[in-house]
Amino acid sequence: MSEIIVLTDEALRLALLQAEEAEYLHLRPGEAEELPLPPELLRRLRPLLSDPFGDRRRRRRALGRSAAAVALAAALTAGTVLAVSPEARAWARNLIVEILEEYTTIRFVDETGGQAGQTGQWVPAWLPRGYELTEYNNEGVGPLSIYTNNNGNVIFFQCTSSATITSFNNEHHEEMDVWINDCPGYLLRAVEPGYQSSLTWYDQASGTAFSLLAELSPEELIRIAESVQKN
Amino acid sequence: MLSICLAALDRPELREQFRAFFQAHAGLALRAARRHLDGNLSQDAVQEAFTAVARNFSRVAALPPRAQRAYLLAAVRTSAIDLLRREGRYTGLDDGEALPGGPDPTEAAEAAEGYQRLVGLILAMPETYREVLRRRLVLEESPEETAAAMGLPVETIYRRFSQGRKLLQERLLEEGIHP
Repeated sequence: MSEIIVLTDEALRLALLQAEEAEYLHLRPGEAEELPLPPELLRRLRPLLSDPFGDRRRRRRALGRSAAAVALAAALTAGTVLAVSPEARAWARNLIVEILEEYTTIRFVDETGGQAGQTGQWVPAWLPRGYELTEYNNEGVGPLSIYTNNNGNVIFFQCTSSATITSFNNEHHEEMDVWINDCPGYLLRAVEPGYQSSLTWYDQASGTAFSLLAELSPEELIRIAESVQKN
Repeated sequence: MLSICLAALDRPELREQFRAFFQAHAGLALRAARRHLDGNLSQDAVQEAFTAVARNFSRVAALPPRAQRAYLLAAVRTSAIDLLRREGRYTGLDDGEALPGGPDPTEAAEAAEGYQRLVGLILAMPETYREVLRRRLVLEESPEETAAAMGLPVETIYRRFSQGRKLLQERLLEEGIHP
């Protein structure tokens, strides 16, 4: 009978900690002993020991606003999905979106298994003017294509299986549920200049999850997505 | 909710707890830093590591004592990498001081079972992914912080985080363990 490990962030975190400890416990004799602290180091650490959490207090104040915004966005997204249609409600059960303080993870659940593993090479038939394929990498979780224009702007396009967890920054974004050629998708639209928007959608027929990441408008991202076809 | 968090950080007992943690483990941190760095740089690594611990101390303090120590070791390792990287000298940390018969990553991964198997796989995984997982999940850096420290685009950090996780999932599945 096979074992099950729920690979949550917390489980991974604890395993990473155990790995650190395992490496340290196997040092040569004497290597694991503590060293006396030089006076110079103690002097340097005095401000930290005097007010250990000053730095963190400042950081948390800065994060407060974005955390609140994300919580609101999460509530709005859930409400939007459930209010739309029976299809959307059914779809909501297959889309796992975890909204964390600074990034959103997206995972598609396809109990049929789709046709994962037979994805072939997918390419967008339309790109904004000036973009050309500058890199293609098939060594990771799925083929990654990178398109670049003369201004140095970049479009990332990746195809993966349904089980892949995709993460995107959400600190400066609004969330939108979209449909790409009758396939459900999830769009994080950048609301501040200099940030990239992302679009993720899943094609059940081929068992392929697609991701686009670029500093483009939602309309452009959706147009690219709708043009994607198998080579 | 936010005001509750901020109030917690001002608790005098938490400050005292941090100072006690420092007293208990500073020598260990310096020893760990000296594995990779010499002189002033090792002291820099210790200072940066304790600053990182302070940043997340409410969570660190909730960990079991051994995990607290492991957290500090992770922070020291990360600081050492950062310092070497800033000096353009980082080509991977030399962990060659381990005892013969110690945790050879491959053997550890093969011998362990269940949850320990996951730990073994982490020991065996490429540092490219492990560093991102350690920074994001253990030290709780933001993607932007990790990207800046590693000198990489933030998209690469997202990708490595996702790929590192996927790599572990795949290896676990290969072993008949369902993540």
